[in-house]
Amino acid sequence: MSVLRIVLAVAKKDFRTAISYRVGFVSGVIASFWGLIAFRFVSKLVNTGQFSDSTVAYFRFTVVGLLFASILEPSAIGTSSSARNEQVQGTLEYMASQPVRRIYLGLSWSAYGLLQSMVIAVIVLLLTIPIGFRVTNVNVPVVAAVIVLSIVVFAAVGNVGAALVMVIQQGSVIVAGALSIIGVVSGTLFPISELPGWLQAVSHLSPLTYALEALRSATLANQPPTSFVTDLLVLAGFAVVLLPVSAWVLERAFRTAQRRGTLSTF
Amino acid sequence: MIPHHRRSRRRGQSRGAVGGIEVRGVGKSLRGRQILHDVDLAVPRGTVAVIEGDNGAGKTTLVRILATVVSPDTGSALVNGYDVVSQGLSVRRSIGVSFANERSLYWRINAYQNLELFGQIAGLNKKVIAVRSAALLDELHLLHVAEGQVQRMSTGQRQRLMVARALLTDPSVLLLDEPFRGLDEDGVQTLINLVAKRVQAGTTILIVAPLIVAVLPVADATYRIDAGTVRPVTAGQLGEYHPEQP
Repeated sequence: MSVLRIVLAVAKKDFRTAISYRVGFVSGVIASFWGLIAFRFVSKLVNTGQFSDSTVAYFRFTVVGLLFASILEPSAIGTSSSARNEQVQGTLEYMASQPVRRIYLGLSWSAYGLLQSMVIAVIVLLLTIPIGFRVTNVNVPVVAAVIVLSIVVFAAVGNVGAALVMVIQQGSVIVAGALSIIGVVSGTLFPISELPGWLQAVSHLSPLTYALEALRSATLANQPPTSFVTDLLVLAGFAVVLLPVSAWVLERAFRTAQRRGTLSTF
Repeated sequence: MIPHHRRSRRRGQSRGAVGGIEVRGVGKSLRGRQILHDVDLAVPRGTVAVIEGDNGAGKTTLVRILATVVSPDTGSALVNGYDVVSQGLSVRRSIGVSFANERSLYWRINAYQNLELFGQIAGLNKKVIAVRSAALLDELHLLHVAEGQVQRMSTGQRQRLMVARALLTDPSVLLLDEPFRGLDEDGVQTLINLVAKRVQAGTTILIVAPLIVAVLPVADATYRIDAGTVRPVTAGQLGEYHPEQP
């Protein structure tokens, strides 16, 4: 498949560039793990509602939420950041002259960041075990499906961010702002049942809500397979709609930049 | 006006039947300034056309239009028979391009890795990329610096690497924007030899540069661009041509 070939080629280039700097990977592990240690202490204070059973229940809840968000972040913000880097470095125009569909470029821009964040997430997950993280009867197919569908959904968000870079030279800041809102209303750090009613309604517009619900049920709650079906179907619906829409938006943005002659400006 | 063709090469080969470059009435304004005015240009398949022009005359914008990274406001442009606006992907599959921008390379990886990246993006298999990369780097005298990061190369070496990258897919149309920038005398001669070899093999080549005297021996047609208007000129008029002259 040409899209996979291009994604892997760009990811390889980004990996080679990343290792030429050396310290990025290690600092990513440290930053992510350190953030979770803070929540281990916070969890000692949170012993109400669904977290009343043990002093680590809230910690486990936040580990799943934060690590999953850290995996998705490169798909969304990483795409626009990479597009902006290409723009500022001067490689964007040449990339745009390559014999590939522009959506493939959009997807390739987040590939290395995504792979790196997944590796970091696994390492950090292992590091959290000694300080209290546990999973129970993990439903591996559901976890895999949630991760794949979520990556597709957030890659689509990333493509829109890259489209903003093409048109207004900014994208990461806007996508990061949108993600911070999505993170709060989708239950990354606390259950959405704690939100006011109107915000709970808003949370159901966010794909991350369904992803986190399915993921926590599949890793922490020992739920039967049928309990995931609705969440997975909604997530698949988001993916099926958003990816082609984002491809169209990115292509239009490239055409706008071509008309304005701004692919080589920043 | 009829372009000045210096000579006929490759007897028996159909020239301009299909392919090559055809520009008809192209105009382009950028940021409120008219860059190109009603440009006509025909570069038959398997020939070399060179366009000379001062800084800001519109040379690079014309190359960008042909490379599909800038769209024309008016007129049409065909590359290898494909329209640059409605058939951009097909155009990009036909061309190799070297922009006048050494920052279009990835500076923290080496020359082989740059060529590998763009070869894979273009769909070449690893073996073909390896063979062509080695041959091009050898032909352009870059083998001795090919394993160091691009940022450690000189400007002239990066310039030659951009040409190697443009040739990696063995394109039928080659667009070279200021390819002599930063080159020493040997570098210029190496590039001219390469152009001669490629055009003998049937590649259509468009070269734009502020001064094109060096490339005249291999040029089939010569043009001058002034204030966005392209005019065919004879070799003797280059460098001293002014639009107001009769």
